Amino acid sequence: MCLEQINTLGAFVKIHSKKVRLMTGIIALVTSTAYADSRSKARKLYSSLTGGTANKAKVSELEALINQNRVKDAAKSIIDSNAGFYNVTLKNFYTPMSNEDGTTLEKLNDMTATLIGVTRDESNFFDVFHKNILYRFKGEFKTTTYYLRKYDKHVPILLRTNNEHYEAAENHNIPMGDSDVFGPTIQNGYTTLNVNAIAGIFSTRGWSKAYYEDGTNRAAFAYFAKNFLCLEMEELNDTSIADYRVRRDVDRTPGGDSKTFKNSCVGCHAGQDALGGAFAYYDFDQGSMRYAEHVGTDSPVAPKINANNIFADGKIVESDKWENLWAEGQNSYIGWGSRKEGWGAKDLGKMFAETKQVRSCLSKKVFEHVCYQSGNTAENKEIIANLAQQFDADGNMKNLFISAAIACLGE
Amino acid sequence: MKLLTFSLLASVFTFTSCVEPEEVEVASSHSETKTVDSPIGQSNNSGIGIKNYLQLNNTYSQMTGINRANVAVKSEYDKVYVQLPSTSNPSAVSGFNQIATIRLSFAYCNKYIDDNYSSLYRASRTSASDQARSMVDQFIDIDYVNNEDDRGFLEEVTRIISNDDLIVSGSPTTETNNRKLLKLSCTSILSSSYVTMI
Repeated sequence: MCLEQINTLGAFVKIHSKKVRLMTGIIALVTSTAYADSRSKARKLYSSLTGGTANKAKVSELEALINQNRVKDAAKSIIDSNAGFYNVTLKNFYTPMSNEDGTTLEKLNDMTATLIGVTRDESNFFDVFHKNILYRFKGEFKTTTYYLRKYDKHVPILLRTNNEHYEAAENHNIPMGDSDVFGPTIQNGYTTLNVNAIAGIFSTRGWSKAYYEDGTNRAAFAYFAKNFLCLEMEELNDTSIADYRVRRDVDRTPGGDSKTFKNSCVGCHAGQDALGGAFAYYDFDQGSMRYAEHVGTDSPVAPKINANNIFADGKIVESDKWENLWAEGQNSYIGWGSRKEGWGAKDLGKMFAETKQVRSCLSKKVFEHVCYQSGNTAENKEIIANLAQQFDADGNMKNLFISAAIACLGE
Repeated sequence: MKLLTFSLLASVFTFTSCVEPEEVEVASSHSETKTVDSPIGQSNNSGIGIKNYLQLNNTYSQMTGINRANVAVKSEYDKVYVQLPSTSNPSAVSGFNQIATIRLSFAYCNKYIDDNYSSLYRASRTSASDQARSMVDQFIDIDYVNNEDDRGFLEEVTRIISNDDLIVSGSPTTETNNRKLLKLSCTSILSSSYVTMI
């Protein structure tokens, strides 16, 4: 038996294995414990916001604030202490949005750094979908690096062609809560030379690498829906929508049966291809984003978009015009922004920025991220609805995290 | 030090060879469900989570005051981080995760005790129980006065420092032995559920 073998390896391993065996019991104990007293609340608040563990001295300090009914001040002090809110909690929160696998294991990049920066500076979060904003590390220019004197570290200069700037900063554990070394700039030059390409996170290198590199850029909308609307494509399926925007690379008779297309495929492609037109000029090639400038063609449309001709009468994409065909019908509950059509990712981002479902989705994600509870129970749905209402009013992601962390204390 | 290294490596081997296949499947199927964008699984409504690799590394760094970029610590972290939990879902935790957690915590504790022994833990100035209390308070907040489980935990840490389990040969109070025992007690705290759970 495993534990018998472990017991022969010495007291340390034996004692540790006892702890491991005790874990289930402790889990049950903790689960049944409401955060009734202020000391427990202090511990929970700290771990929710930083992912860390507070020691006796820290808990006492936070407990004193909580006992003075200053829970929000306690939360802010935890965040401002740079104990992990930015480099851990937010990194864990945003990283799955920057890759198709949805894993937290990816390195920091310009997209996730920008989302963290906007959260830190309490800017209107919804601007990240369309404004010309980017966060980077700042230091003394040294030919190929920036020297961050405060931390005695060098990070490579920011280039469009690689992610070394952000990876080095992460490896050096440079705190993103420190505005002396991490701050906002504009994307011009850093992500693209074409000003028309700039559209919030949709024109960052991180987003481009994840969603423009392979396929036909449909992933850009699909993963926006997954990450910011909390909806899989199957949940958006509406077969009543006209199919005039479905591209010609979609088989109208899959398996020789046109009913499959009519009863299934069109439900996603009709709306997705119409919205996804906004990303038609983007590609990711040789380590950097390309926009409206592609090898072997004068057209601004990325060649891959129309390359596959399975159904010749299907939509041939000739511009970056997009339409929201889901604004009416069963998907209207999403509360889309007011624009029904537009040109390019920037316009589309403005529409997304107004969309109600973005508020409720992010509120649910934040609640689950800091509370370690499902947002699907009746009680938690009510909490999340209140969080979404506040988030809609102030667009302040940091406040959303603080409010969610306080809400799961039972406050 | 060789004994410590042997114990840790042997425990890695033992745990690795003991992992039930079902546990591996749990981890595998979890990734296939594509729920990793959320820190918890669909079924978790417990209000608790397991710290993932980033949270563990940062927690240990905060607790010990050792920078995550420290060469020795970073070297160990780079070796084990893919074996540390990648999700906070308690049901996805495996033996691999736990062993990696022990290895990382030992890397921090090794450096922490070497750096702080003289100032915080010199054996000639304090008893085993004083050292245990000092270390526990330095790292975590538990109520070992009124809570029986917490008191039991403190007693176990004290027993490690007292060498009750004969982990080292000779007197536990010589500086060399005391350092070893403190490193092990530190590791047992950092890899305990008090720290690895949220």
